[in-house]
Amino acid sequence: MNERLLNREQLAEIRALARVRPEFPEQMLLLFREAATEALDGCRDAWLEQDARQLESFAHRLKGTASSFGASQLREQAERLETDAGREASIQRQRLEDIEQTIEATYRAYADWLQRA
Amino acid sequence: MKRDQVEPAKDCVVGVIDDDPVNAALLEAMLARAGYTGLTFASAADFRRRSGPGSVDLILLDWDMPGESGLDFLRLMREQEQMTTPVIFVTNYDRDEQIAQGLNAGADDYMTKPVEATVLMARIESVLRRLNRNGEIVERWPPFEFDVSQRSLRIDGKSRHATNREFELMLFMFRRHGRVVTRESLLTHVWRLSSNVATRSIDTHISRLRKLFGLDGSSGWRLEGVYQKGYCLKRVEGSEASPDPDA
Repeated sequence: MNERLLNREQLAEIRALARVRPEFPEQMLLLFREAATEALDGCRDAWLEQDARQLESFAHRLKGTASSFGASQLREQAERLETDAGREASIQRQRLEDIEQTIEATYRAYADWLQRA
Repeated sequence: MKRDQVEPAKDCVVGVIDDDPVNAALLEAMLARAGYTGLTFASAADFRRRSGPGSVDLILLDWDMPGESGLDFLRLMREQEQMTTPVIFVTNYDRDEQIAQGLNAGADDYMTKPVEATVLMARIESVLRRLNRNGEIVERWPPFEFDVSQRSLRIDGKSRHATNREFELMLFMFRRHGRVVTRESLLTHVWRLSSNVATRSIDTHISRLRKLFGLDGSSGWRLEGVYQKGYCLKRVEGSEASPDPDA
């Protein structure tokens, strides 16, 4: 498993919580995809409208979702986007593309982990 | 607490106000494992609409939420609505000035995401302990006053004897007044039994409470049965009791 994508310690915590709620690991995957996609869409809209404040806010939200999910790389990327929300549009565009790919990669890595568990 | 261990149920309801469904689900599962009942709310408005401060024993509060922020919610609740329910911020904001701002607004503690379960539970227990030590031990729903540390009850300022079970049962219902409480919940939190035990004992106790303590409406409060669900403690409309401080 790619540890840059998913934090091993957080996965262990999610697995442990499955003892209380067996459906919890799968529930987390669905919630992650929904919340991360929604936050990314918000970032994109803000970028299109050149609204730095909104971009910062949605990037912050994405950072929180990534953090709770243990998605280390996504968290770092969202944090960079949040910090540099006011910088030139071309940089943000590249960052948004990177984030989109990382969300997909994180989703696949977690789904693989679920299957192996 | 060990990670693989499920703790026995505690008589403590923790509200989680967080618009991030991933974090809310994570916190709720951690609370369930530690024996707490977790209730999640997607926003401050959702909390006000569905619940209210008197119905939870502690709140885990996110800061950055659409609409009313956690900080604004806390300030308003502390300053205008006199809410004393303990609050722990659980947020991504990790700068020193933000932590200070959160605590100055009335938070009892402050944690940054991601939270580690053992630390979260230790902080919750610490806040609840501190609250008890600081004298916030008398809970009032006029004309009822529950001294939680002494396990004593006063109605209209007069001491009234209540058995331990009666005390626990009334306190549990008053803390959740206006909400339907299931028999299963009473068995778990007041009787500390699993829900496959006969519920006749609960019905008997409820009848006694109505007669002995005026929970038939004569005290300004009515303990009503809710068909096939459980019970609900309601303030009687137009009663002369003082306004509910938590409402």
